[in-house]
Amino acid sequence: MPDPPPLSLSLRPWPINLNPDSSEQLPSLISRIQAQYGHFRGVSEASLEAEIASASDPTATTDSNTTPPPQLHPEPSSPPPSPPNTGFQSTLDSTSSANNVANPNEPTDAAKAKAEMLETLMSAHEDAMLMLDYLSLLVSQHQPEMGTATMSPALKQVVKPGTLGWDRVTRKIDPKAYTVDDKVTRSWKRAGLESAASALLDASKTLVTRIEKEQKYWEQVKAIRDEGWTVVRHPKEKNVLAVRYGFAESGDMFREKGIGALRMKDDGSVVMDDVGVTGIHGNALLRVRIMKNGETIGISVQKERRNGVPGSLRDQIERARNFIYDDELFFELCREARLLAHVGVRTEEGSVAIDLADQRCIIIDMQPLDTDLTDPSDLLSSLTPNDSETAQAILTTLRILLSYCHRASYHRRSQPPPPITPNKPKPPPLSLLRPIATHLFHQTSISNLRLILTKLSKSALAAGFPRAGLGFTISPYIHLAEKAKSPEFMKQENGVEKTIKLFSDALESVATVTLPGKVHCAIKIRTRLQPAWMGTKFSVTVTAGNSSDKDVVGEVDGESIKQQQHAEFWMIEGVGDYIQLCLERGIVREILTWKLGWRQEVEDGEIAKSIDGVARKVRVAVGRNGVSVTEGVTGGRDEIWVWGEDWGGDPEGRGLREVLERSRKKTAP
Amino acid sequence: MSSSTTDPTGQSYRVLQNRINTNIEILYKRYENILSLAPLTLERRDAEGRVIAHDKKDKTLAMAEAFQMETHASAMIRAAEDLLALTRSLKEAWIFGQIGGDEDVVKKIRAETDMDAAVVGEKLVEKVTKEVVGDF
Repeated sequence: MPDPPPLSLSLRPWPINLNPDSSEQLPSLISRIQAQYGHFRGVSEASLEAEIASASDPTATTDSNTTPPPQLHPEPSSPPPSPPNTGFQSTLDSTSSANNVANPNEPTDAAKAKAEMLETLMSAHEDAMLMLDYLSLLVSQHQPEMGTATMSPALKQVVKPGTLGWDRVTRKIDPKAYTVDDKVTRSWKRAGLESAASALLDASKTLVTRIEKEQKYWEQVKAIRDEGWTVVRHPKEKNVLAVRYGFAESGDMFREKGIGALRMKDDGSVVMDDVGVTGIHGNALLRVRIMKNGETIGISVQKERRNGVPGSLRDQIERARNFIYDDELFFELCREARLLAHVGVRTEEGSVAIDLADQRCIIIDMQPLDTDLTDPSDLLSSLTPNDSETAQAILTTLRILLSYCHRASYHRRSQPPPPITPNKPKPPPLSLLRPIATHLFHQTSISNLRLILTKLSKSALAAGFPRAGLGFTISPYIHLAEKAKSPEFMKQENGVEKTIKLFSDALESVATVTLPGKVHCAIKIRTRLQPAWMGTKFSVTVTAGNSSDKDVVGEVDGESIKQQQHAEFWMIEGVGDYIQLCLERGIVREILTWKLGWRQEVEDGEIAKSIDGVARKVRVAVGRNGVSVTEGVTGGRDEIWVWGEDWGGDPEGRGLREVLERSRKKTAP
Repeated sequence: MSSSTTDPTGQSYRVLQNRINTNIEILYKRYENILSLAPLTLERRDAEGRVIAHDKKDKTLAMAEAFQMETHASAMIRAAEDLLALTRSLKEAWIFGQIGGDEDVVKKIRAETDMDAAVVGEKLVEKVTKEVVGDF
């Protein structure tokens, strides 16, 4: 079957068919035909045959008394819409089925129905006007002003007002007609009364049901309102109530979305409709996962706190509120993560990832609520409860922080507004990730430092130094005590805000290390992710106790270590190296106090003694393996002892002191 | 009849009262009308107004009266619905008169949260500042 002729849309108005035989119509007709079927030049035998075939095809043709099948010789085709008085019913029946493939100029059913309706209305109108004229003519005899006012001008021209009279005529009443009339009268009356009665009864029934529905509806709405939710008018639809579950302090994006329409179901109970999609994620909640080496080792649980019966109105509202809360949270997280890219926070499509040391990373994304854990098989095996708890804690913290940020913006809004400037400042990203990242980085630094110090201490212990002179203590978060006493802090009355304020901003911890040789190191770790400097800073202060100022412990980079030395590092490795250096110096100092005759010449880590004219040197070095002592003669063979954290370098388990004394004895005459 | 989509708190109490009265009156009057149109006969009165005879009503008159009865009935229904709409708008006005829900409920919840938060904060500070002594 050939394709139906394509729909051609012309912007020229239809020609007015005042003179159907006029030859003016011809040029426009020709141009229309050319637009629809192609130029005359394109006519070929094949195309003509195709036209004929499609014309004779019953599914493609329309009825004969409407538009004729498309022909190429110029013939006035009837302009649509066809005049309403030509055989309407038949055309309706025949063309309704063929309308899909018919000539698109054919009027549709709707147009035909409209024309028919107009026609009947016109005739009714004419009848009414005629009646009005007649009555007004009658009335004009008795009350000329009233009658002539309603008479039409045409009637007034033809017939003068007041010319029609009337009188009552008594005529013989036909008894049969009388009884028939009587019956008709009765039945009409009865029908009228019945219809009125039934209308009233039906109306009363529907009203009763409506009242019950309304009552139920309003009871529920009142119950919601009593719980504290705000009921407002729907912004777009009239006469529809809506409940506002969004948060007033959300950003611009989310404020309009927090409204749910309360619609009435058939029995009057309330159903909440989602007005405006709740964010791009739909029904999704935030999820935190901890991954190590690509495997998930901890995952947060999407446990919603349901206060009401699932499916009830309150439950719906709470669910919607949770969704929009997490939506906003994720949105703000993404915005903030862009700022922290240089600290190790990555943003990928749909997720935010924080890279921690030791191949761990934390991934935050949105998980649709309806689907359970996506890959249950490989997730369950690698999960550790500890990490899952951490993930859950992070999730809870994020939510608390968003709430705190809302409060902060509320306080900000309550202040008098700043002076108006032409450019409106964009609100800064909320600090949601920053406190968490600060805390995590800080913890990492502390644990790394702890490892380093433990290792060093163990090595020193293995080397025989007394435990009393070794040790370290880490006091985490010492800034809290100080901060809690600051006057600005005491002003806060709100318990929630107090707690959170403690842990935001910079975190500070202090580690004190005691090394042999009465060397004390105080390491101050400060982690801060605010614009001034972002990252972790280690400040190490070394004091060589019990030393007079003349005592120079050694040299570092050409500078003598005086009584108190101060250094700052940005990486934990630098701190580790520095502490190792301090340990070296400390050991050397200790050795010197043993008064075994060694003397320190001003070189790093080396002490020398001259015995029998042979200069023996002992070099103390602290490295990754532990404390290593190299003893030897210039030009001779060196002996090396290494004390690591778990093992002593000497097969006989001797400490450094014994080794040195033995060597002294060895060389003594 | 006044429109029922606008907030009736803009109108005074008197207007609402008038509306109620109007509607009730409509209900009564129309009912009366229906009943008065019901009889099949028409009374013929003499010059003094006394009833002298009952004439049967014409069928065309009966038809017209039937139509009138239906009209009156629908007017009654409309009046009743208007009363319903009035009650609904009153309810809406009441519910919007107090915005934000009960302050007391919110305050209570807030106070509880504050106390909890203070306790949690203290515990957290304790835990976190616990010293780590070098154990080797």
